[in-house]
Amino acid sequence: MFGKLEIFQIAGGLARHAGARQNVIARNIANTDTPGYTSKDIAPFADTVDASGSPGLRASRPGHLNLEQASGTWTPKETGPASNKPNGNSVSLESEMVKAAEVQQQHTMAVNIYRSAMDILTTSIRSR
Amino acid sequence: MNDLSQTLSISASAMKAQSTRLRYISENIANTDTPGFRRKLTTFEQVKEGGQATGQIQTGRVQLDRRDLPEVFDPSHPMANENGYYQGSNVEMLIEMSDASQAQRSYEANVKMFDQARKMVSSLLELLRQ
Repeated sequence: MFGKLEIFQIAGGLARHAGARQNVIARNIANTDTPGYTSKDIAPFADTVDASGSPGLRASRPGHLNLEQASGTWTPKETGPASNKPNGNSVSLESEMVKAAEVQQQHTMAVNIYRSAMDILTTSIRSR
Repeated sequence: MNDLSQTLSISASAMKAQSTRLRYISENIANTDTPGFRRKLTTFEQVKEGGQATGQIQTGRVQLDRRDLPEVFDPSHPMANENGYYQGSNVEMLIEMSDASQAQRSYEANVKMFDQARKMVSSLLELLRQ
C-alpha cells in the first residue's frame, strides 16, 4: 500500500477530478438562462484510471493518447439530450444538482482517504 | 484548487446577473400602471476573453418589449385622447411574478454551487493542519 505511495496520487487525482467536474457543473448552472447553451460534463474518474492499477498508456508528449490522465486535466464535452426549450438551452437544474451531490461525495471521499493514509503514515514514522 | 477558485467567480457572476434580472423585474412591476411603459427584458450572454468563453455570464443590453401597448378607456385621465382612451403599459403581472420566482430559483442554485465549492476548498486547506 505504501510501497510507492500510490494512494496519495490516486486520492489527489480523485480530488482534482471532483474540482474539475464542480467547475463544469457551476458553468452549466450559471448558464441556465443563456440562449443556445448546451450542458457539458467530463468523463468519470473511473474511466481515467486503469482497474489493474497500472498507469496505462504512457504519454510523454502532448500529442499522445491518455493525456488527460497524465496532465490531470479533463476536457468538457457536450452531453445530454438536445434542448427542448424555445431558447435552445439544454441545462436541467435537477440533473445538475444530482451531479453536484455526486461531486461533493467524491471530493469528501478523496480528502478522507488522503487524511487517513496520512494518519497511518505519521503513526508509523513517529518514534513512539 | 485553481478549478475551484474559478468556480467561485463563475457562480458569483451568475448571482450578479440573476440579481440584475430581478431588479428589472421589480422595475416592471413598479411601473405596471405607468402609461406608455414598455416592459424591460433581460438577456444573458457569456463573458468572452480573447474570443473564448470564460464560463462567466453577464446581462446584455436591456431590450424593451415591442408588443403593442393596450388601450385603456378612462376619459378622466389627463393623457386620454378625444375618444377617452390612453395607452397603458404592456407589463403583465403573472409573467413578472413567474419570472421573479425563476430568477430566485436560479440564484439559489448558484448560491448552492458557491457554497459547495467553498466547502471543498476549506476541506482541502484543512488537510494542511494536522
